[in-house]
Amino acid sequence: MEGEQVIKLTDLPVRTDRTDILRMMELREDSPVYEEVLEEYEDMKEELEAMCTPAVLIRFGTIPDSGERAAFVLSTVGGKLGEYSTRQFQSGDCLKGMIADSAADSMLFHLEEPMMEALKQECALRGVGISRRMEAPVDMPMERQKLIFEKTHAMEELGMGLSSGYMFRPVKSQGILFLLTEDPKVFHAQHDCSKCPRLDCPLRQEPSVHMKVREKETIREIAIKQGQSVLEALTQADRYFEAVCGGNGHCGKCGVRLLEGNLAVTPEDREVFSSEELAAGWRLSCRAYPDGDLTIELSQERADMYEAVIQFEGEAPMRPESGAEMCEAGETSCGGRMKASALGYGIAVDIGTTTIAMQLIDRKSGSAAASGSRINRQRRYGADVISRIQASCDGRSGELQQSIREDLRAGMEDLLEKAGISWESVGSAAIAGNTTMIHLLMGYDCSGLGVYPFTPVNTDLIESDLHDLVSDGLPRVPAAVLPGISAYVGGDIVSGIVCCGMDQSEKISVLVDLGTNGEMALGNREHILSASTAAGPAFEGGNIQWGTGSVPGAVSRVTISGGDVSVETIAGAAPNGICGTGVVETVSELVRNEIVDETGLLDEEYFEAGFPLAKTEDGRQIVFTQQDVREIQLAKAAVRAGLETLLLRFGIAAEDVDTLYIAGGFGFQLDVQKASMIGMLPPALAAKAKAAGNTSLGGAVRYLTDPMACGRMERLARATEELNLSGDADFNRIYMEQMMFAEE
Amino acid sequence: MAIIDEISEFLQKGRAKNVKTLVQQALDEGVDPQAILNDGLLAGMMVIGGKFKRNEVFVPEVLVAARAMNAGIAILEPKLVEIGSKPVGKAVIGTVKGDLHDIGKNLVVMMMKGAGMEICDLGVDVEPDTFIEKAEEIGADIIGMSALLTTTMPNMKTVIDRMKEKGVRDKYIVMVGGAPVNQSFADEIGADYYTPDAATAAEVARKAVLEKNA
Repeated sequence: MEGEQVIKLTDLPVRTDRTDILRMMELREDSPVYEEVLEEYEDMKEELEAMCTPAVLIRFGTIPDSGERAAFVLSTVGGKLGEYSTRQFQSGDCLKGMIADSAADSMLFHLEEPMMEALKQECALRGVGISRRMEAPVDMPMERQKLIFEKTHAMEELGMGLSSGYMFRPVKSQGILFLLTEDPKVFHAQHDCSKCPRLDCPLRQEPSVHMKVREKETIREIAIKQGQSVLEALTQADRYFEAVCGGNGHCGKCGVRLLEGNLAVTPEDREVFSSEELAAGWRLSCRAYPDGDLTIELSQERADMYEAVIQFEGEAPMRPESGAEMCEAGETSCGGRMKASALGYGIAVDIGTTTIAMQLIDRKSGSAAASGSRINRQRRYGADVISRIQASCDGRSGELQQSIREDLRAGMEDLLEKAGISWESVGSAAIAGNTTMIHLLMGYDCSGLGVYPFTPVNTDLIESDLHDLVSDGLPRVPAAVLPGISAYVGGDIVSGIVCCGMDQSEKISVLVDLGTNGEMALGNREHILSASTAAGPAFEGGNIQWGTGSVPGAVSRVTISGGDVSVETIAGAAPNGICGTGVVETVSELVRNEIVDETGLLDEEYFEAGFPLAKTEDGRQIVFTQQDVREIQLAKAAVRAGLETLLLRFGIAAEDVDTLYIAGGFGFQLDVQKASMIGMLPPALAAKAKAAGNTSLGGAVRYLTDPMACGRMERLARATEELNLSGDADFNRIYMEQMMFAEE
Repeated sequence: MAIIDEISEFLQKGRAKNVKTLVQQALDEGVDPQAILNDGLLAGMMVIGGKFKRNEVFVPEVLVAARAMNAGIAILEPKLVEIGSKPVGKAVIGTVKGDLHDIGKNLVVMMMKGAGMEICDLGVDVEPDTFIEKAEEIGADIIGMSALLTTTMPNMKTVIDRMKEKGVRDKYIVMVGGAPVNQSFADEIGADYYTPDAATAAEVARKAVLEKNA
């Protein structure tokens, strides 16, 4: 496309639209000056139109920094109208000045029609389509106007100028950048008022829209405001809805099905849905901006299907009664919490990024009186800690804090109701969570968590009460927020180490929590090393096209033999996605069957559309794509390299490790042989793996029942050494080596 | 005085012809030109400005009223010069360097004139030093800056910084406005006032100048 000439159109129709001008000037029919202004306009109309010297410049080419193909378009009504308007204002006739200014805008607006016609023809000649329209400063930075200015030779062709702020001179001009696509049928070139932030623009064309939302048997109606996406409207209507990437159009999790009405197919929709799915009405709600009334159906995946893992392994707890005795005798580190008089019930909480798990502990017997789990509704601000940190820094810290406080309050009240006890019997609470979750709960500034050198506001043990920590409506039950080590090795790991008893055993063990940041700790009572590694959300089903959480219907077991694929889903429900263990199994089977080669390349046959695993109830094909394989390569290499580096620094071999504790629900489901087969775990460690369950919750329970636990946690928070893997040469070397799938 | 109230009434309705006739008539009757200006024209304009702020009238009504005011002032001007009438205050106003939008600034100029200010309109794409030089030259009370985009907004700070360098910052009241500008930005760059619309700008300018010169 280089060597393209500038296409210059000057013989263009000039049109002013009375309605535009009335709207721009906010002239209402009931205005006392309505007649007068209208008369003035009619008098001026001809003169104004004669002053217009319309021109459109179009040039096809490429954007230098990205290499994307684009059409650069600049249209102008010339400079005379603006000069005339300014003169009128200066001479005191503000009315004429304003009419001239509005007329110029209207004329520029109507240049859109011949410009679009010409653009369509030129695209057809070149066999290309238009995937996106971009205007500064809404869709692209103002600097881009310089590129348009230069590409269209606006100075040479029309004698135009550019200000140091990248505005065109004359000012009644407009620059547009159209991104091209190979597909000549696509023509997304219209200006879309709904995406423009100028809500007060008098020319905004956007009727208010009613949306019917069908969900199973119920139908409710939601109004969508100007500039709102379907997702935003749903969230605002208090309908919790999955938005793993925070509504940025790339996770593909917020799909809804359009039943009636119209929702334009966006480029993001095309990336996520197949043409059959698009035809069936599937759209990403975060990218859907309806232009008329519509009916949608919410996708099958439901928030309340997430179940947090409650059970956990660990050392045998100390009998609480003896703890009480020790406490009375002043032999504990618990600050009096364990006094026999203060026994009663305790509430243990693990705030996970996805789910919140809780247990009501009868502290006399040390057993659980009730358990519960619920989704962490902060998920609507994004699935991983990074997007939450982002949201918090974007001024939503208050909303995020409110969200988790509300979840905790509701969860605790559920527990009490289940157990049939009242708040009077609750004597204490302990909350564990990763550092970000704790920051969000405390309302701390998260900006230090997102950027190097990753500085948390506070990771110390916080001793407060539920009234202050959770809700004004709760009594002042003493509550502790468990201490963490750093921005990425948080209180959940400290809690996990105590739960597994790693810090008391002579034997060396390893604890791994495979979340977005694969956190790990290795050591014994002498010394513990910890690290976190950016594994990404792949093991939680994130960034995987069909990825999903551990919900009913998630593919969790996969066997491929010959041409046959068989899958098992959680709870045996109809397939609706692939959860973390399913992802590991799929890759392992693809590698074993040589459908993926050792470099991670998917067989040619499946390269484009992905490898088909199963079909959903409504006939959509669940596939595993090349991109998904790449995500797993990155994730598994990060985990493996993290573990190997810890072993190296500790100075032991994998064979010398006594137990590998795999925390989280993932551990129960994971086939460690398959995990080792794809290279995620060193084979010698895989042999010693033990699913440890929710060790974070386990540690919180321990805090409530074991008078020594508090002291252990504080010591761990102080003394645990953290390795910085990102700057570690060995880590980086092993990471690169482990990216491949080795032949075993 | 009945005729002055009538001028104000007609001005509010935007009747330029009636305003012109009445101003001439008042002069012929020997009414004090300063009173015609203050209690007739400017008073009428302030009523409209207030209504505009309260969303009781919209831009067209203000434009029509301003036009009527200007028509009246044109008649009155020679007499005002004759008696040595002084404006409430003086302001230099412009759209900052890099920014070419002028309609918002024009409306502010219009409203400030309606508040009895003498305005030097510097136009658009104004160099930082030009604001200062012109203000020094005419002995202005106010420097007013407009910007329509976040990319040109920082140039407001450049002007204020230049004023500090030249040691003249405290001589002037600095006012800022424009679509992306807000109070916190104004605080950040050390401007004295941010106003969200032209009518408020005029009101604030008048008050600030009266306080300054009190």
